[in-house]
Amino acid sequence: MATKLVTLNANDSLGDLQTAIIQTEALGFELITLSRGVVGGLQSNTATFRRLTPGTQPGPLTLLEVAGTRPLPQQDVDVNTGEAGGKMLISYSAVLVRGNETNVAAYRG
Amino acid sequence: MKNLPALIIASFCVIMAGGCAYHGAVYSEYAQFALDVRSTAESSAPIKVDLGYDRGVLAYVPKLKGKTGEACSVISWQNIGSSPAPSSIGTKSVLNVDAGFISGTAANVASAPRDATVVVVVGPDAKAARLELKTIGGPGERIAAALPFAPATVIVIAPELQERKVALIQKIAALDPTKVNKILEAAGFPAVSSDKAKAALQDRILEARTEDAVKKLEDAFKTVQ
Repeated sequence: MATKLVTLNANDSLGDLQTAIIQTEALGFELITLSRGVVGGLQSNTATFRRLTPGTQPGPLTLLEVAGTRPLPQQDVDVNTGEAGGKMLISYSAVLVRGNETNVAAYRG
Repeated sequence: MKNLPALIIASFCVIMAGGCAYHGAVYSEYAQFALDVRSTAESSAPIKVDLGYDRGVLAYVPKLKGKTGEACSVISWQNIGSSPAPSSIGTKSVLNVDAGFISGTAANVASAPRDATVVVVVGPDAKAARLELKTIGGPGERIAAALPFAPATVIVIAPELQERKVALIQKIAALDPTKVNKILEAAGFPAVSSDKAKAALQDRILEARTEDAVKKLEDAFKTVQ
């Protein structure tokens, strides 16, 4: 039981997804991965968390959208730019934001 | 739209009146919800809240052809809810509406029981070939599978409720597994092995979305203090 899988609302905005994850982390979990998935045959946003000692909390988390219309080299620049200010990329994947597949980078720090 | 109910009724009447020639399905639905909260003059804070919801649906589903054919297959679904804060009003969960209607051959297939063989025999007017299929799961499961996304196990909750959940989490570290299991049982959950007790309680706190659910856990914590 070292990890915990949850599904997040696929119709949520990016801000609401970030809030839901931050609220989960405040309960002693640490986000490891975030991506779209399939649960019970249905499309989902699936997040995996590492279980921490209850009462402890990981550092701040930020989700950023990277436009899927941009070519890969520009996405590369965008993702690296997001690491400025001591942030570390922990996940870059397709996530359902307001029901649409969206490139989302998750940063810690 | 003030005249929405009248419009739906009028549309229905027009269909019925013209309608000895109409051979299909008609579906109508009307829902209205309103909330008006005002404070009195003695209130310390002037409060005035208005909320309105007015919705009408009229479906006019023709037959494929002629008087004897099946109505066209139509699947329509609406899911109305509130996931941002507040997750509850007072002690009651926020209203959620999940409704749909299905007509024609789609309805016959959707309502067929589990593990049934459904044979769709087309009428003389239809061009499609005979269709035979075997259902997997009950009607509810199959309809749920037709919905686009899996339900969320974690949603945004009201900050006040979140603070209370965090307060409970912070108490877990100081508890031994025996006490944690007592809390689980007091809250109506099964006890688990000692090595999994804290994780199980952590999960229960994570899953608590409503005022009632959080209160039940808070009361359970009090039984070991």
